[in-house]
Amino acid sequence: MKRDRRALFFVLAAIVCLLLVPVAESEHRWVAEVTAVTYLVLAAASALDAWSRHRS
Amino acid sequence: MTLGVVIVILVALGFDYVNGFHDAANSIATVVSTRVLSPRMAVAWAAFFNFAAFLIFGTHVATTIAKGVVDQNVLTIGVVFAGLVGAIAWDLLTFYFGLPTSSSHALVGGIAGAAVAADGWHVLVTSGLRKIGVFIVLSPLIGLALAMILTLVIMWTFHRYTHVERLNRGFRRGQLVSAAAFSLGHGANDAQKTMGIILAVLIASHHVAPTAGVPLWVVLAAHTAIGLGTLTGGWRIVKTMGSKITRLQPIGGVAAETAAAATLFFTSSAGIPVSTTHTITGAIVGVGATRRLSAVRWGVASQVVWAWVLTIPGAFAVSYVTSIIVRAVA
Repeated sequence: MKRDRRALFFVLAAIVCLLLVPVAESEHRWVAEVTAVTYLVLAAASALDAWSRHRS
Repeated sequence: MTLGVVIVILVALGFDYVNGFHDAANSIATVVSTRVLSPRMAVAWAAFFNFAAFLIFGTHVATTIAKGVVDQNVLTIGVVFAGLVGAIAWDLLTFYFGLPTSSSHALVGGIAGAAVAADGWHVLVTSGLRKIGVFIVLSPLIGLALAMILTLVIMWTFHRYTHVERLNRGFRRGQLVSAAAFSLGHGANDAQKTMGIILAVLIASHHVAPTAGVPLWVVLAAHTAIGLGTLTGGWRIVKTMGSKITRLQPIGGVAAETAAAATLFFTSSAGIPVSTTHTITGAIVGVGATRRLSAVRWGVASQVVWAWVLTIPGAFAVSYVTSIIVRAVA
């Protein structure tokens, strides 16, 4: 499978967001969590996209 | 009102003016680079919505700046003056080099530097700085993700549409709305930072009670100053934001501005001072990344990141030195 750089980029962004969760004030923690989940979804979608392109 | 208070308020409004001047590019870069409006019309459009923001948003960000960066007791007129001088000096320096830095973080770094020089490190309010620090990183990431999702949704919705010319025309018009929304967000978040500084000075000089909100005249003065600054805005940064990061089409412009505006609306309502520059830069990168990562000119993007990293320490250092000079003179 061809490696998708976008997926890697989004995984890194998700990790950065997750690292911010314990640092953030409790009232804003959910923002970091939601952003991290969004990046994980984007990473998964990018990886699937790259995989389907590779197959076709 | 003493002469000192009047001078500091005027310097704060001057900072607000420079902020509008410096950040004008953020509001209008995409509209200008996609040729929806002429540069002259674009700045007028953005300036109007910068001013109109006071009708919609509260003053939560102002409160965070006045009470959430350093201990209120250390905020004397001299400290605020030194902080503002540091922030303005840093803004002008980065403007000269054409770097889209953050006026907001220059202000936070400037006030923190001046206060630490006056009374030591213990004056810093860690919870407030933590909130600002977290959103330094989060705001561009939120802008990036939202812009990317919006671009994908738009592309998916219209992928069978064959009248490309008509579609482009529609999105050109749509950009007027998204640029207006972003200018509202910019006015709301950035003008409030100046309101916060003026509120701090008024509290320090006992003109208003420590528990008081922002007086209406301060709100109007701050929005007028940022609107005037935008109206006379600079063009060096327009080039960096509008074309050097990634090449934008009207659809991308709408997505980037809408995503950035949504981020600013949320943060302004939650009282979080964020950088409008960070937010729109992230959003523009998000639009570019929908094509492929190589569509983003990472060299320029990393230059921007370096400017972000240097903003708070740079303004901190300048204000620290200014604070020592102000105290020696006083």
